[in-house]
Order: sequence, then C-alpha cells, then structure tokens
Amino acid sequence: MGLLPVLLLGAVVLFAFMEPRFVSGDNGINIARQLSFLLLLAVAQMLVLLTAEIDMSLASNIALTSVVSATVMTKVGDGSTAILAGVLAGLATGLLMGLVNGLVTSVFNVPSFIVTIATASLGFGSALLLSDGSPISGLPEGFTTNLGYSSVGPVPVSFVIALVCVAVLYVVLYWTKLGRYIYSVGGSQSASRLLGVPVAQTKTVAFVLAGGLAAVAGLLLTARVASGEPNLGSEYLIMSIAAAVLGGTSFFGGEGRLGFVAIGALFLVVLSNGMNLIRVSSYTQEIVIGLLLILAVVLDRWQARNAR
Amino acid sequence: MATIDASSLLEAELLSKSYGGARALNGVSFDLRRGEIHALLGENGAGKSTLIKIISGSVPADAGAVRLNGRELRSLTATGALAAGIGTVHQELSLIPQLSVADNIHLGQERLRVGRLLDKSTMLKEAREALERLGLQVDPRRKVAGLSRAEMQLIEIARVLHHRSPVLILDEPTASLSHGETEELFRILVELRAQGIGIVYISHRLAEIRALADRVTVLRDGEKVDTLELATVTDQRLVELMAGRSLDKLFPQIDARHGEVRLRVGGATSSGLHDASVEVRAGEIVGVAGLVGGGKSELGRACFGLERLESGYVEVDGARMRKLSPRRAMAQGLMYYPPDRKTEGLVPTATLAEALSLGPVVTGAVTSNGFLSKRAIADYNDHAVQALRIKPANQELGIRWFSGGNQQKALLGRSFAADFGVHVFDEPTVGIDIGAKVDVYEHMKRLVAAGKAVLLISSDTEELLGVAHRIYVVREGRIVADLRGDDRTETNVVNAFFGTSRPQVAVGGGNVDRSV
Repeated sequence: MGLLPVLLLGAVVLFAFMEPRFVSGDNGINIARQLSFLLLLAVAQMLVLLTAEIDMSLASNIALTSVVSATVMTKVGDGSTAILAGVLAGLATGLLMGLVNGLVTSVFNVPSFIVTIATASLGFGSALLLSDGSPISGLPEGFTTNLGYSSVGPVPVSFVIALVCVAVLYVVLYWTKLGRYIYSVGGSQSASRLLGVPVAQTKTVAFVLAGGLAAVAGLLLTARVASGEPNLGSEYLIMSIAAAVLGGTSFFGGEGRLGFVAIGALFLVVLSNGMNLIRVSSYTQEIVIGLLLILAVVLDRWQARNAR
Repeated sequence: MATIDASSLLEAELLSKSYGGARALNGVSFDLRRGEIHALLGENGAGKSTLIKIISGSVPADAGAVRLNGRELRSLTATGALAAGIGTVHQELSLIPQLSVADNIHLGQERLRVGRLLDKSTMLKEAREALERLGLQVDPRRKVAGLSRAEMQLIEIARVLHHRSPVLILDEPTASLSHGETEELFRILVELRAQGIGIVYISHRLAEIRALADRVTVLRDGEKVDTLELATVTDQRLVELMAGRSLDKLFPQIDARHGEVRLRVGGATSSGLHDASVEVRAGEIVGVAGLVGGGKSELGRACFGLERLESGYVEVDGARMRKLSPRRAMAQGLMYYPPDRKTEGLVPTATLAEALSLGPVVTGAVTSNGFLSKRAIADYNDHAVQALRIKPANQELGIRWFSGGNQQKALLGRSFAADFGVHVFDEPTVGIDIGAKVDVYEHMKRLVAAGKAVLLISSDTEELLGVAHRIYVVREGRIVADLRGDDRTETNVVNAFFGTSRPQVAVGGGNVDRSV
C-alpha cells in the first residue's frame, strides 16, 4: 500500500509534464467519468476478495446486464416506464448472477475461481444469444442522456452514483455486523464458524453485493454507449482485480481498505487516461496493466510473508 | 555429563528487534558451548521466540551479531542457517502432509544420482536410519498426513538431526509428546550432547529443564535477566527471575459450590465417542483427562455441535439442544474455547480490538439492528483487556504479533459476549507461560464464583489436579473414571488412562460425597 500514492503522484506529474491537456478541466471530467465505472467494479471485486474468494464474472455481468436492460427497454417502448423496467431488469440480472456465484461457491464449498469462470461463460453466452451477437440500439433518450451524459454541476451523474454506492458500502463494511463478518470470514473461515458467524451466508451476500455493483456499472456503461452490447466492459475484469490488489486487498482474504482500493482505481484510470493522451497504443496499455498486476500480487505475497 | 569444551560454539551478541514499534528483544547476548544443553526460560513475550527466530535466520535482527565458531553469520536466512549448521525445530510443524516421511526428511537436500535423478533407495535408507536414531517405529514411505501429532514432531526432529548440525534448537518440543516419547527424546538429546552438539532447549516445564539442562538463560520483557549454572539455582528462584515477582502458587484456591446441573451430556456417541455421559454443575470445574486421540477433545466439540452425534444429547440448563451448531449452543448459553489458537481460535488478520469484539458482534451484545455501536465495542474491549490482563494493551496491534499467552487471553475475551452459563475449555494453557496460566485460572475462578459451570479438557494432569473439583477420564471414547475428592490422584488418573488397574471410583458409581 505504501507504494500506491507514490505511483499515483508520479503518474500525475509525468503526464502533466508531457501533455498539458492532462491537467485541463475537461480532462478532469473525463477522468471522473471513467473512474465511476472502475470504482464500482474495483470495490465489487474487493468485497469478494475480502471473503477470500474471487469474482471472475464481473465483466460478463456487465455485458449481460447491458443486453438484458436494453432488451427490456426496447420491448417495453419509450418513456420512463421503459427506463424503470430496464434498470430494474438490469439490476436483477446482476444480483441474480451474484447470487448464483455465491450459492454455488459457499453451499457446495467449491473454489469461486472456477465457479465464476463458469458463470462468466454462462453470462457471455446468454448475452450473445439474447442480442444475436449485435448491439441493441434505440434505447429511450431519457436513459442515455440522464445516466450517460448529464452532470450535477460539473460532475458527471455516473460519478455521483458511483460515489453514493461507495459511501453505502463504506457504512456496510465499517459500521455493520455484516462488514465485520466479511472481514472475519476472509481472515479465517474456521475461526469465524466457531464463533457462530454464518460463513456461507456472508460469502453469498458478498457475491450478491458485488453482482449488484457490477450491474450498476453495466447500466451506466450501457447509457454511455447508448446501446445494449454483448461485449461491453470486457477490459474491466483484470482492471477490477488490479485496482483492488494495488489498493492493498489481500488475495488471502480478510485484508483491504475501501479507501485504498478507491485510490487504486483512481491510479489505473489516471494511467490509462494519460497513456491515451500521450498516444500509447491500447496494445501497449494492456501490457502495462498486466505488469502492474504482477507487481501488485508480488507485493501482496511479500507483505503476507513478512506478516507471518 | 559430557566434558564441556568451554569455548563458545554459538554466540549471539547484543541482539535487538522491534515489530512495528513494539520492542521484542533489547540487546540480548547469549552463548552456547559445545556439548551443552542450554535452556531458555521466560514468560510469554519475554523474547525467547524472537531470539530463536533471529538465530535460525527466519527474521533479521535490527542490531547485533550472531557468530558460529567465531565466524559471524551475515544476512542469515532459514536455509542459510541450516547450511551453516544451525538446525531448528520450531513449535509450528513445517512438514508437508502430502509427502512421505522420507521425502520430508530429505526435503531441500535430496540425494541425486547420475542424470540428476532422485536416488530413492539411498534416501529411504537414510530416512530409516534417521528414524531409528529416534527409536521411531514409522515406515518412511508413509505419508505424513496420516501420522499423529507426536509422530510428526519427532519426524521434524529427525529431519534436523539428519543434517548433523553442530547446533540444535528445540522450541517446546515436548508440548504434544507423551511421557514415554518425552523420555525417549531426552535420552537422544543427552546422547547428542555427549557427541559435542550444542543444544538450545526452550520449555515452560521447569522439571524438564531441571532434568536436561546444564545452564539456563532467563529472559524477561525482551531483556536478559541472567545466565546461570542450573545446579546453583532453585526452581523457586527461576520462577521469580522469570516473573520479576514472587509467585506463591501456580494454582489458585478455587472453591466449589455444586449448584444445579448446568451441562449434561447423555450417551453421546459419534465417530470418536462411545456412550459418553458427563454432567457439570453450577460453580464447579470439571476436568476431562485422557490420552491424545482418546476422545476428550471430541467431547468438547460435541457440546458445541462440531462433532456429529449419532445418538445421545447435550442439555444446557435443562434444555435439550437439537441440531447443534456453534450458533445454537451460544444462544443456549454454552461457549467453547478451541485448543488451536492459530486455525480455529482467532482470525489471524484481525487486530486485538477486532479479535475481542467479534464474539459480542455475533451475539449482538455490541450491535443494534445490525449496526455496530463503536462505544459499546470500546467498552467491551477495555473491560476484556483489563479483566484478562492482556499485554500489550494496544488494541490496534494485529493479533498475530501477540505472544501465545496473550493470544489465548484474547481468545478467552469472548466469554463476556453473552451471559454464558457453561464454558468448555479445550487445552487452554498449552504452550503458554506461567504468568498467563495464572491469568487463565483466575478467569476460570471468576466464572465459577459467578455460578457458571466449567468443563476443562486438558492433557496436563497437574493442571487438572490443581484446579478441577472432579475429573473424568476418557479412554477410547468412553468415560472410564469419575474421580472425586481424595481419589483425584495422579496415579488414579494415569491408571485410568491405560486401564492398568481399576480406578477407585467406577463410572456412575454411587459416590455421593461431593466434598473436595
């Protein structure tokens, strides 16, 4: 964790130096908008990692949410009823996917890594089937404008929504019984069980919340691109893991702070925004993210060993 | 005793070490001679483990030097220390359960033959020799996973002996050994001493140190108190040096009250229990003795729903519990304290504050409508830290940094989480020092005085005789004796262990004299 603020500061200084547009107000709004998606996914991943599990289906969740909500909206027609129906359908999709992940993982006690890879495949397949492989356009304008483009003052609506979600999650993690359970289950399943902590229930709830957060991100992204897309958000899986782990979330469970993960997400967004501005190709960017993730897990391992 | 070569084999000079601001070791010097058994003695948190970890290369010192045969060992690692000739058997076992005994003994030092293939026959032969040296009757081809803890402990020792290190460090090696195995180990250690090997021996058991050691170094609060020839010092003096105060008695006087029956287990039968029945009354401590693996742990686990009963029942305050689980047992007023602090007892990533408050968070004592009351948590924790004398009292420090005794006390912190009428302790004082033991006994004393019922499962017969008002002996899953009053003698307990002679009081016998 000690390294992250340094990395963030370094990136900001470097990009500001190389590209004056980086420090402009417009770019700030850009960063806020991009951050809103990653912030939701990073904290979703963190929530699951805290319980010593992992969610490999977050990107697929975005895609399925997008296609389901778009299908519902276009079927219902125009106007606010359609928007409401689409949003609810999207949220339900994400929550349901989280519920399946959680139940299969905790009830059958199987590795979530495999379970969520499987549900990711299920989700992508369903999204492709449902959309016939092509984007679903013709979404109600109220949806795309309000969620995708409007602002509160200079702040994009999507960013406000993400912040509200993170604030709620903060209360859940640090002021409720459930938050305590999430940390303790990840720290030691057997010790938690011995104290009467409902282990399976806690893990399932973590997956459901993560699914819900991914669905919110999916809806915001859908509004932004103004169509339901079966391949939406595929880059966010690795980004969510990188942000959570860079932010000090342990792969071994029980350790990680919400604020640090938010900073991890900010760092990745600044990095990709800056690299875009100085015209680093997206291919190279993928390599950079991969290297960062390796660095993050090596640091995690190293910290875990020193802690012993 | 072997002739002692007075020159130093191993020297540690002014070693210091701090963990996150907490000073664990402060300028400690120590020397080990050839052909000497040198005991390290001290309370929990005195710095014994830290000293050993530095010498064996598992943690770096902040300052100071370690010399072997006068040569300084720099930037020591665990493998480096072993290669240099310092073999260490840590308290935590480091065997790989999936591998065979022979593979474990050779791990990292595999014998190779032409073509860099494993020389399995030589490895097997050497493993057999290493086991024979310890008199251990185990097939080296067997997987470690199926062995008893005592066997694993001895294999760990065999592994270190196999390296023929001139320095051998043993950290509480007898904690899980039976009497016979302990004697066998002692015989081997004396033999190794005669061969000129220097042995550092850490134990809380004064009798062991008395039987083995030539010199003793006493540590307290991270500093060296003194190094003494064992022949020149009394046990009483050692205890005083260790504690920094005089301890009159290890076991407090605990008066029994014998009120209503609060815990009743009837005809409990499971994979490890056969028709076991016990009862514990308000205001008494009932001990459970027995050999490791004999079913005494299973009895405690059964009370908490951790051991599935095929038949039989558990009653708390007259209410029979159905579909037992930890949650239900707690709701009925029964709390269980597991023997293994590291895996079942505590969440290792927690701070002291989190470790203490998880219990009341679960029971709802410090929450309202699912929200935490930070004020109530702080009050709860402050009370637990004070009542159990947990040191250091820094609640934000990670629980993993606390000594074994203080971790144990943090585990006991859950006893305040609700008004539990029955408390079941399984091996609450294993691997902790005298000072912490006294605190644990005092805690039990308070529980009993408040009319609670205490079931104390322990392998330490002395402890049971010292604090329990009544002692059940478990053998092969059955209750084979219920010793009361003057029948509570070491001989009776040990006889019941092995079924060698009929104990004075038969099970369920009509002994109505409850005076103790």
